[in-house]
Amino acid sequence: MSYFTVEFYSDVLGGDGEFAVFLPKNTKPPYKVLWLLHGAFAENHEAILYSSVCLYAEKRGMAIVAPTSYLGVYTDMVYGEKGYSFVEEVVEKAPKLFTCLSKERNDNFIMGISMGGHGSFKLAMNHPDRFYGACGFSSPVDMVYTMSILEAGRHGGGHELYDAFGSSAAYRDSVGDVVGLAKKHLIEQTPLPRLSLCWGDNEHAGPEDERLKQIFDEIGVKMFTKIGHGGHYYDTWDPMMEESLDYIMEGADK
Amino acid sequence: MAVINYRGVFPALNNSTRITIALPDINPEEGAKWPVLWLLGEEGMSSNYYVRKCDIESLCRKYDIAIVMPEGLHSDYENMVRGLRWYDFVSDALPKFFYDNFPISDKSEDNYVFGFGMGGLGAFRLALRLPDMADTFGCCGTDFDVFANDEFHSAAEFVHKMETIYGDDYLSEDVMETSDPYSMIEKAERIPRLIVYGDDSATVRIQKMLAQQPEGTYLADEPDLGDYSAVLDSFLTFAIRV
Repeated sequence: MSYFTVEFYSDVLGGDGEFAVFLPKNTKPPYKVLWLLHGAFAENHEAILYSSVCLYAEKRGMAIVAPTSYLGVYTDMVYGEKGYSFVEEVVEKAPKLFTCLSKERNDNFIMGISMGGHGSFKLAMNHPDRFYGACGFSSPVDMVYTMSILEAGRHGGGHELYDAFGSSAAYRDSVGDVVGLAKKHLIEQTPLPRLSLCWGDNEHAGPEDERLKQIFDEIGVKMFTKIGHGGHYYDTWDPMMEESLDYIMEGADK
Repeated sequence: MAVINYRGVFPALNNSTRITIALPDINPEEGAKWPVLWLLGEEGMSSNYYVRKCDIESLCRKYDIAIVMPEGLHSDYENMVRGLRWYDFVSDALPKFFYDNFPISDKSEDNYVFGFGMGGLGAFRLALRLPDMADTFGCCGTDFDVFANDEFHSAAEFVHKMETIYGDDYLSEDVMETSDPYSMIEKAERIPRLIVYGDDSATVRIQKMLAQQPEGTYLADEPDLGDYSAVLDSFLTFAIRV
């Protein structure tokens, strides 16, 4: 294996940004890429340390690129950093620096842990020509809805969510409105990325993820789902990662 | 500007190693390839040593050059008899890895090799063994009396180190011919552009030997040898002919 941490001056952040790169062995470039987004209040090494994602990528001849995003909310915050634009910047620039990374749609997949799943679906829905597949684990993908239940006092989040997203009304129809974007792509007949969402049977993300599954079923967006045993943590997510990866990669080599 | 820290296993080494890379821009033009300075580490120092020791970022930007800084532990950058194959790593596997994975030019005229101390010994030997690897080679503060003990090691430590790197017969004719700097100059078929900074007696002897060589070998004006940034600036100014 080869493991890099990259520090660079980010035009978007107006300061130093960071991402980690894992390159597989026994595979020749150009490499498939798994973009790996960490959860809120975490950082980019977490999934690499707490899961076997590098092993799963290695088995599939994939590189991993894992940016660190401020607070991990994957949005250009109302009060805070431009977390979404920063990840877009990394997606654009990392393959220019690591010329071994493929830029082909069929070679690019994105995975998000918890809030990272909002980021992965958001990136994929805004750039369906760039990502073949996207998956999330216990993720508040539809942040418009999450903000609405926060506003109704039915969510445990705090002021940091208001600082990041503003309000449900402000977030609706924005680049972060994943359901809205999915509907738009369906109308425009844009090929959608293959989608997967998994969560645990004993955690807070379940109801939101169940709801998204129902909405996607109703509007005709295909999405693989699986409910694992356990709470909001890696020992729940890790056993589902390979199945999820295989689903979003299915057909990519054709 | 990007600074990258690498950690991973190289099959040539059959071991994990650390490399620090400085690139002048995070956003290179499509298809463009940077020239590269292979900056070999001092004995025992980590790959981050030069980032701490001198202004790598400014040099990187000033000369629009990638700077790759591998570590070399206590190897003299040789294929150790009792250790890892550092020469194979630094002469072949390392550059190939970066040519394959980064926008770095593999043209000899875009490649430069330099080192301080032990890294300089590595650069010197690469120059004499593989003169086509790079356009210009250089070293500073290097102890060229490799097979004579220095003030830093006891006699026992010195012998142990020599046996570890070069084997029990470290004073044999074969070892001298391939690894002793003075013998290497005498037997070299071609000596590329090679700049040797330093003012100790062994370095002066090397400088005099190089001065007698045919065209292609040059000595530069002396910067403050304790100022690593100034030495690298001097080397790159001369090497890249800005």
